[in-house]
Amino acid sequence: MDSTQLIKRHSLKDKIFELLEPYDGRFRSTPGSLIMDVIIIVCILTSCLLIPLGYYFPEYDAFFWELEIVFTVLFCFEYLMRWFVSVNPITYPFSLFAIIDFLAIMPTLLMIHADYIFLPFFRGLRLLRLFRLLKFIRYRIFFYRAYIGLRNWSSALTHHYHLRQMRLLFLVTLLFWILGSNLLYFTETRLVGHTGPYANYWQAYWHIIIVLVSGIEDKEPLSLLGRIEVSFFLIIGICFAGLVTAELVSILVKKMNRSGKIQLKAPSSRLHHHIVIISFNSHLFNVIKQINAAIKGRNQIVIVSQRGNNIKIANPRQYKKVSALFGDPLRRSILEQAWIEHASRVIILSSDRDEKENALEKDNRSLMKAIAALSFNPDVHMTVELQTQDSLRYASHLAGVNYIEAREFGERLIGQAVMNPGVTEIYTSLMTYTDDSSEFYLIRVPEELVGKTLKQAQLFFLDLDDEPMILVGIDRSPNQFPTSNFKLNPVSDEDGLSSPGVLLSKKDNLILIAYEFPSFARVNQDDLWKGRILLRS
Amino acid sequence: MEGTNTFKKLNGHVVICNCNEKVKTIVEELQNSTVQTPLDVVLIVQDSQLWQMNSAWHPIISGTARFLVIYGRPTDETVLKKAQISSARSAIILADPKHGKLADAPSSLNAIAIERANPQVHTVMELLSSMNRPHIEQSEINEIICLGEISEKLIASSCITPGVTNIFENLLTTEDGTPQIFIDPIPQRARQLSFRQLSRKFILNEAPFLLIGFIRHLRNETRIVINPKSIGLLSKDTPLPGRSKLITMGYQKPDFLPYL
Repeated sequence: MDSTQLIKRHSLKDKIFELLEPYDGRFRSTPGSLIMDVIIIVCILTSCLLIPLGYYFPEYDAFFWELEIVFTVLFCFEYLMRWFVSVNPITYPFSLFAIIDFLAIMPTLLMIHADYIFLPFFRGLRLLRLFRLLKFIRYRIFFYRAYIGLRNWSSALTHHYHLRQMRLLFLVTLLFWILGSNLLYFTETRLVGHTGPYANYWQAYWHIIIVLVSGIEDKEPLSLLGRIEVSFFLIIGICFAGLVTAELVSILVKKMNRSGKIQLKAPSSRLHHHIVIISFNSHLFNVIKQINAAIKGRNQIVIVSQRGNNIKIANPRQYKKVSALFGDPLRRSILEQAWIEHASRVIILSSDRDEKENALEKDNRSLMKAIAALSFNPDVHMTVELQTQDSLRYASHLAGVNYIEAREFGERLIGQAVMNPGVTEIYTSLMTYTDDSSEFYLIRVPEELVGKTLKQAQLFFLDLDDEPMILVGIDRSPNQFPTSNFKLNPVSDEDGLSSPGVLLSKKDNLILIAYEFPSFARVNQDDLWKGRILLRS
Repeated sequence: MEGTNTFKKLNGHVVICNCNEKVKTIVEELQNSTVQTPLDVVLIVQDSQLWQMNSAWHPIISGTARFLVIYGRPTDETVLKKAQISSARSAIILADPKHGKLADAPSSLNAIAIERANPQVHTVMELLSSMNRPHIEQSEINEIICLGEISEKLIASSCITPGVTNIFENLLTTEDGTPQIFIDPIPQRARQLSFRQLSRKFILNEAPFLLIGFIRHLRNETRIVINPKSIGLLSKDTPLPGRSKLITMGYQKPDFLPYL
């Protein structure tokens, strides 16, 4: 089998596929596909806008019709391209999105011939063009991400800059402004007639705003009651000025106090597919550094700790997508605020807060946190740091959780370093995420390799020069429990899973040593959207 | 089995300086390896009381390899002589629990003393604080193992690729039926062949090991290349000269010749 087949497919048909279907089982959405999405969305919106415009401006009907033809040609081209790159061209026209796409172009195509056969339904057909709004269903993830991003940005802004208080202050000022202007206008016109500075309705607004925001009298009312009212608003104005100044100072002081520390998570910000790190110890910073090196800061990281409000950092730029939540991770309200039920991964570090606690007590605390987190999100991939091997015995009852007991690895590594000098650097390299080092990855068997032997697959990957990788093993574990049934370097004298003659099936996973997650790997859309797969770029 | 002060001649043995909870597993790993010949181990203990009080740290010796204990300071020349450091294969310097979190300094001094006594010995040091790594790397110590760093890297790896810790655990275990990573000099017949050519030969001839990388000496620098790329100075098509080493994954120490 020629290994270039995969690369060719990727460089030709797949590129168009990736451009048109960036979220369909792909783990990368390229800038090109983003631009394409935006163009199609703008086209859909503009073409739908033509329908009401045609009713309101019938004189431009001919121009709108020409535009409509242009959009329809574009949508037809898009439809044909999607059909061309579809996995199964025979069944594609009957898929949901193909039907929606067809409904989007069908009314205009019918209208072109409406003069002959559909004249009585002409106006109805024009309205049917609104069907193309259904095309937005395809972009629901795009809109959802934009909505979440915007919402998080606004809630962070509200939280960090006290915008809620400022908004309240603004509303009260507005109320006093309208109230004061009307009060002065009516008082002055009723008591002294149309001669005073407040006798003009809009002029009264000008004078009162000066009084309110500057705290100084602009124009003196002529009536006594008017003067009393202005005095009252003058006092209110001074209070407002004081409050605004106090708020600004408070924002500045808060900012100064938090400089050099990890930003706090805004209470109302919603998180999805994020990584939750529970508890704090000296490993935290290097764990974040490693994760950021691996996923290039793509996913948000939330630290839940009782020291969350005081985590000092050296380089705030590296922690742009990291926020902290202050509170006890065992409290359900805190875990709710961390949106743990929507997290992609949960890491539980062994807390070093209480130095009097022994290793076993620390482990028990960590395991309780694991149980608490699993009660919110039983399917989440969780990694728990433990201190003793004793804890591992009963911890293993929590299925699907990865436990790290560094001592065990360290002891074995020391032994290996003696037997195979220099081996530690190789293990360290395989454990480290950098652009220039390889790591272990698990991918589903590519379609091209289904039915092939492991030996054929190894030769295939050896010649895959665009993305260097080495096939080192096969994993036949269920999706929820990866690497629970795997074999590294299967040898020839063993049967079943460990034979190099074993045929690869669609359900198998391959264990690869690669520089990053292979780009050709077709990932399950559900896994991708639910954040089971963390993407590197 | 603990020895007395009168030792027979030792050769190719391992000297462990200081005792802590890791001694038991390390000694058992070295002596019960199914892949390599079991190794004799000499343990140098500074605090005899600490060693005797912690019976959980004592390894269970079941094979033919010897386990001997010497009481004394590992920096002391006479103690090192008694441990026959001059004929030792490797020296492991463990963190002394008596020094708590500040054990890196005495460990480094132990390592320096060992390197002076026998510059050929392969020294492996347990580091407590990763912050100290850059300083210790400047010394002659061959391998530094920091548990904190391992923990951090494994946590991050496990977070990115769930289940990857099982792969590392499998690789690091010396039990029968689990593969390990080996580094061996390139055989004469394989010299000037590239990684791609060698890999192809090993796969086609169904070798019981996998070639995953190589080590090459470039000027004064030693470069480790795992999963070589197709382009660059050290690519998968670069011929490997005589001084190169091959990195393999297998169940036993690889014998390259039958598969070339």
